[in-house]
Amino acid sequence: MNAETMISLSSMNKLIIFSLMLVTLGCQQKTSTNSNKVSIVWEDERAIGLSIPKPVLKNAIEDSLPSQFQVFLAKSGKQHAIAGEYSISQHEIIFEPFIPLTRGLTYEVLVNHQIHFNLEIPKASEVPKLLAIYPSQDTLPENLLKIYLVFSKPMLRGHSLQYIKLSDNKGNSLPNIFLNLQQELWNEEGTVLTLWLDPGRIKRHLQPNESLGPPLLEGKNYKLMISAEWPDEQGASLTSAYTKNIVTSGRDTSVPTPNNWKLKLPKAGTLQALELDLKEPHDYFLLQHTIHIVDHSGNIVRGTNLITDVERKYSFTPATPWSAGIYKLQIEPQLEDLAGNNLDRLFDRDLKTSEKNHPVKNIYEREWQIE
Amino acid sequence: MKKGIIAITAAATILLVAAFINAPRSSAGSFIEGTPEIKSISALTFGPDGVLFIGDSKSAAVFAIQTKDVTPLEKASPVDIKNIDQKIAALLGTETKNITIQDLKVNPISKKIYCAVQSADGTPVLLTIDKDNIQPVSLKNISYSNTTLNDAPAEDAKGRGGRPLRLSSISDLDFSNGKLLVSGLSNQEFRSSFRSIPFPFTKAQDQTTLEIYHAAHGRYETEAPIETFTTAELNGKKFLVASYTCTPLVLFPLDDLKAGQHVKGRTVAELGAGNRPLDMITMKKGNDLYLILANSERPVMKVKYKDIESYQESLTSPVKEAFSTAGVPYVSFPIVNVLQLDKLDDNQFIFLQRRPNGDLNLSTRNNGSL
Repeated sequence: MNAETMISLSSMNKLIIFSLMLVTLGCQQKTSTNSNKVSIVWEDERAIGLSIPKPVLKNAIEDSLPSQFQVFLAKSGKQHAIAGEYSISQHEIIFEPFIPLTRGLTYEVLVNHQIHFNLEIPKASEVPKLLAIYPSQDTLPENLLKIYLVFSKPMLRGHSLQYIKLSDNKGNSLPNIFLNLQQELWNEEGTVLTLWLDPGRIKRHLQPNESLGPPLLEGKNYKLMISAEWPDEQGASLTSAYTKNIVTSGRDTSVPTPNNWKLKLPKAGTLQALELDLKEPHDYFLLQHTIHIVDHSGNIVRGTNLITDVERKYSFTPATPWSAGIYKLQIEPQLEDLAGNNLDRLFDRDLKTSEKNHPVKNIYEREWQIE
Repeated sequence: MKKGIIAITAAATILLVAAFINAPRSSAGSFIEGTPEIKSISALTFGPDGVLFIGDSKSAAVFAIQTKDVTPLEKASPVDIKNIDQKIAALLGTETKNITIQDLKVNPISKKIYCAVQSADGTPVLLTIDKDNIQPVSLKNISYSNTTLNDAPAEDAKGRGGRPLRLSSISDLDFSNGKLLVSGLSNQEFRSSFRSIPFPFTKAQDQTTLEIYHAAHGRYETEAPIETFTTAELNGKKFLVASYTCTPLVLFPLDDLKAGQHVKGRTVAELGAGNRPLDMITMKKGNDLYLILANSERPVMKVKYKDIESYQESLTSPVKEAFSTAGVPYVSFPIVNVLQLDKLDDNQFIFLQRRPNGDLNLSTRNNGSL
């Protein structure tokens, strides 16, 4: 386990696609024949290794591969060969570094301490896009709690706030708006980032709120800017910068109330959508998994949901036709509006008083009948 | 590196290490041989017998791996590596902008440093640092065990709000009294989550919601997530010592952290708003134990545990002056921009520091400097 450069003879169970090598440094003759090519081993668009044909390393000895087949970052002074693991298959010897080779960088391959090839890992051909920003409407409450950024590809993580700026209508960048967490909040795929506006500044009378003021003020115009420099995890940057205009309305100081939602009921025997008018925008991602529909026996009705009208409307289309009878809408209490108020409580509240007035529930229900 | 188990005298440490060596390998029961699917490494901590716990935020799971690095070393050589990020980047074949050091943890048996690094494409790498020698650790064909945090058992749902919080980020890990402690945060809800997981792993997981009174905020602050924590024995009782954004220091009795419980913490210090605690460890100097705390916007601080023990109050009134502090006294060191801390041995600690010129250095200090 404490391996620096381990020899592994196990065959690679991965789908290996060989792309081709590239330029040479004083070794043009070697590249002219297939037998001497260095190839990049790709997996999921990552350059996970380099392969050389077995004949290049005649009489290769397993234990000495780390000194016979070395890879360096070009112009790094060759102080340290890149650490990795080796495997030998029938026709080639594969070097697999601990992280994929970086696109856009050039590497030197040394065979028996002689420069064999210089090769550049090509930059990614497909660039990432910012697909959506939620909440999607421009007018937002001054106590807005969260912003989601949705990308087409997994992005570089860990440095997000370098690429995100919120400025006022004079173009001044506003500092300390977002909560700077050591571990950024991404979905598993690395395509959705959650940004919290600093809760300590949102909650009234808290010290950060009183010393720095709330992140957003009522009746102001702001611009949320996403830099075009933001690279995805393959190093390809966004196609362009993105700007979202924000106009702040008043403070949202009420909890979402499912009893106020307007239901447009489908007809029995059809696949018509059940349409919910939520009366105000809700959290896009929480909407997706906090609302359930159950039949009269308590079984969950399977189907698909669609969120539209700037997260004010939710429609549910069943997988099989509706039956006549009683159905229930079940809503989990953590569903939030844009200010982080959920069904159980306001985001900005004093526990000493509010808990007594508003006991928590496990589920909120509304019953209706299909005819 | 956030954390460290407190409190043991040098003699006791030796006895404990000896006990580990001689004890039956009970922790090996749930281990399997193979290649774990570790998608990210957010936090590290050591358990018994050289077992390293890896917090994987991306897959909301915790892995325990057998490092087999169990040759005891009592006194470690000081570590001093300048531009450690450049050295790691060269070893991995990339540039410093493409790597992030996520956590550093010292194996309490061998005193070897384990370092979690994430590359720009999300690939996690585990490294060891032994004096100035940095080496990747292969995570292929190893002995490991794991548990998933988001597939919590049904009893978890008895918690407040009726359901477990889905974690998307693990902020810290620690191992104490046979349990792995995990603090985490959801990407969709602003709620605190704290889990205590018996090890060897079973299906049992206790999820607790923690409530603190945040003096800087002047009101209850139930949901704030823990940024870093450790465990400590105070007046003969085990406590969770946790720190949050805007830096309250809060104690929770470990015995109270049980499934479905909502536990109120006692805030013993307010170390100043506008700051994030980054890491904490416990070190001994003379007969005194100190909590050492690294911060984002303030210098490294030390708090004497005796002062915490004798502080029986709970901060419940707002700090009046902006950015002022309250509660147990603390001392600031003339060391700033420390990102990671850990105890190297009984007399030394390591710290990862961003220097004013941008260099990222790993250095060692003796307890005498505390």
